Amino acid sequence: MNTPIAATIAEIGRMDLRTSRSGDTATAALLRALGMQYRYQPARLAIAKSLGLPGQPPLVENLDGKSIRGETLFGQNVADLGLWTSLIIEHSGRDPLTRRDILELVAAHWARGAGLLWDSLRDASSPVETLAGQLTSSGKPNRVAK
Amino acid sequence: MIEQGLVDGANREPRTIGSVIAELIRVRAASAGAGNRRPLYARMDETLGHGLVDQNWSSDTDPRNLDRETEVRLSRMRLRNWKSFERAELAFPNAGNERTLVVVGGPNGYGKSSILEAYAFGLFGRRAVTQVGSVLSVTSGRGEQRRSYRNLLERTLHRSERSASEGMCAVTLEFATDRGPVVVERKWYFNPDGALIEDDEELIVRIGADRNMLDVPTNVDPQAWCQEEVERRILPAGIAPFLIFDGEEVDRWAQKKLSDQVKTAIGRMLGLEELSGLIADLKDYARDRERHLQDAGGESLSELQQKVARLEDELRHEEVPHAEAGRLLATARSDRDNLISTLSEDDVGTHSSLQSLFEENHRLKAEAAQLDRELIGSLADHGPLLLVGRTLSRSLQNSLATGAGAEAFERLDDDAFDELWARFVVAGPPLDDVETASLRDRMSRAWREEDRSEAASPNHPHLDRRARSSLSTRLDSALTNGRRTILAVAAARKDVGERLAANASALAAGKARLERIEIAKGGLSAAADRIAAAEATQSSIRSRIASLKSQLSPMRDELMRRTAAAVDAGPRLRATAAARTTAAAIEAEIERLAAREYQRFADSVTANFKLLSHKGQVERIEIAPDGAVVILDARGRDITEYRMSAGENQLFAMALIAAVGDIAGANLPLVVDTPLGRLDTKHRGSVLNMLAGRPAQTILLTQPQEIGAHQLTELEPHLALSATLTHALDQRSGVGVSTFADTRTFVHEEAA
Repeated sequence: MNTPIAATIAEIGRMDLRTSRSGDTATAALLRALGMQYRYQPARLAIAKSLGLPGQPPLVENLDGKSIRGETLFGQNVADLGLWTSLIIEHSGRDPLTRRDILELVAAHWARGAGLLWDSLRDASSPVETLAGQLTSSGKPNRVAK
Repeated sequence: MIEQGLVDGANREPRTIGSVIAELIRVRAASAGAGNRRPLYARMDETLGHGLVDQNWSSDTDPRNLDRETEVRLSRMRLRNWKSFERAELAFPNAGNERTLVVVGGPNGYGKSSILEAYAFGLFGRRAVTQVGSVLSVTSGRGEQRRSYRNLLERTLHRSERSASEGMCAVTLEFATDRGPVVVERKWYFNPDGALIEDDEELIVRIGADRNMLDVPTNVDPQAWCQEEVERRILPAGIAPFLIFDGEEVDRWAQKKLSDQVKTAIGRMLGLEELSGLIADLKDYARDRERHLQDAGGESLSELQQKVARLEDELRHEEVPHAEAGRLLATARSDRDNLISTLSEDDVGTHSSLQSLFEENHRLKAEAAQLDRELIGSLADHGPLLLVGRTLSRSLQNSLATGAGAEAFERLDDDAFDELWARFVVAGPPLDDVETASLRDRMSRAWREEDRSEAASPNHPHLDRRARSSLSTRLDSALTNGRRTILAVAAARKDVGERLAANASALAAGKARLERIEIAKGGLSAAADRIAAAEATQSSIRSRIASLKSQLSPMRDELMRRTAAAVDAGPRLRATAAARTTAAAIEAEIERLAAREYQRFADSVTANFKLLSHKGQVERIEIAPDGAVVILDARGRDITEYRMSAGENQLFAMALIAAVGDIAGANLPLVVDTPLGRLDTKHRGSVLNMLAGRPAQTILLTQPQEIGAHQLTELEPHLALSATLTHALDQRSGVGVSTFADTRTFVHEEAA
């Protein structure tokens, strides 16, 4: 489990990534609110949202949400998988990370980001426009509360 | 009262019904037996044309009734050229109140019936046939009566006179009354052929001791007036049949239904028959005159007036709904015009513009959906890295760059550093030595590998150099292009949203306009319906009005023409109305009289019947107001139908005839030919006794078989005169001549 992943991006692509139940529920709500087709889309946004924030997300104790395959969550090509793996590593400030670290960090960011995103969009009349506004209004979208 | 009501004919003042009835009776009497009704109607025109001042009449005030209580006795009869009597005269003496009976005997053919006829014709002329003979002899229609009168008279003329150039026969009757003598002279004239010259009939009435002729008033028919005077002073024609009759006829009379006998008798007694005849004539007259008025236009003027008034009324009634329909029509048309105007304003381009708006809406929605999808896609694609943000991205880029530098250092050697330093120095500006030494030291340290190992960031060993470079570039691109892309799509989406909102607003306005149009169209349809209904109503009413006007126009013309003509017809209209009113008044009076007299009459008939009948079976005779007769025995049983023998029926007829005489003519002479007729011997005595017991003069014209010497002896206390007729051939003319002979008078002691 503690095997370094330095040359194992392909292995991350094959991993079943998941988050908490509540994170999963928020992801499903975001899926409906944003009119997206696939669960990986709001899940990726949620992870990105959390990565945009300073500080480490709390670890998720029970990973009982529905899984998304790594190559689906981050992209099928090596570049995409490398990018997101790098972002997670960079944010964690640790290197190298084990597969378990990756699983836990993905789950934690997913959960935190989904909760925050849903909180910011749940009351919006047009969640899409609101999100677009958030993403384009300033260069500091991650200043969203919490 | 009646006399007061009589006014000059030229003066068209209304009259009382009483005066009109009196005059009409006179008029009818004058024209009795005439076949042509025109003269009668012409006279009725004059009488009735005045109109009436009243509508009710009571015969109680009829002056013709005033002398009814007067005692009348035939004192003398003179006949000239009357049947078998060439010249004859018979005086009837006044032998006192007890001796009132006159018996004139003679075999058949000796002239008994001639005497009866002379008395009747002398008194009543033509009315002897129409009024007297119609009851106890068989006559029918007026034409027949007229022929009978003519035929009777033409047979009456004594044969010796028939050869004369102008024949004449005459009857003179002298009466003694309480008010003095009255002489009635009537003469008939014949042409050489023996035909009666009816218009030459002459009636003269003389009164008083001097036998002065009655003064006939002006403006009256002298003959009719004299006739009326005869009936007023001597004997009303109505009851004459019961005081002048042939006993043989009683048998025929007895064969009639009892109720018919009673009705006829009472009618006569009360003068009802005459009045009934008058009623019939009045109704015939009214119908005739109305028909004349109608002939001009098929209906009476009043009917035409009513019809015109009714049509005008209907026309007026049509005008109200017609005006209302016109008002409704105008309102509906105004509503329609307003709606059309509204529609023409609203409808311009509404449909086409709405269509465009709908199409635009559809296109914009599709565009918006596409942009939504694009935006969502952009958010999905670019959102994550934008959310990651620059801080982490830069940090990663730095980390990646650091890792890349180490690799470069690995590939560089000291020669390369030296070459770089040499170029740096050459590039200038020149540095002093200290600066040069310091700078070279710093660069040299940076160049060396041990310095790279001091970097704090992760070095991302899973990425090779190429991947690091690609990732760093991608991060830059993502942060810059991703934001731009989302902004562009969001702006496009916003623009489409705004256009969609504008389109929706325009569409809503268009729909509202469309709704107004639909409402207006609904209103237009309703207005069209209202217009159609109002036009239909108006058309229907116009049609009716046109129909009414087309009916009215000729009627109005006719009415104007007839109204103008009616000025001349006014008296005739008045006369028609007066005729009907008079007829109604007489009918009412007849009803009143009949109800009053029936009981009295029944009592008299009962008394007479009991006197005549030996059986004593009949106790009471009841007569109902409708003339129905019920004969009751002592036990109150009805024996009307099955206990009466033929003889008793004849007795009933006699009793009834006598009752009329008792009630209406107790003081008037009774003249009966063959008085005992076909009575059996046991009833002859009682009939003779009843006749002999009359308080007034009773003249019996008998056959020898009827009253023999024995009976004559028994009657002697009542006899005033007993005469016998003789008949002999005139040697000169060869014609049989009857004369009175063997006359015996019985003079009352006091009278003697």
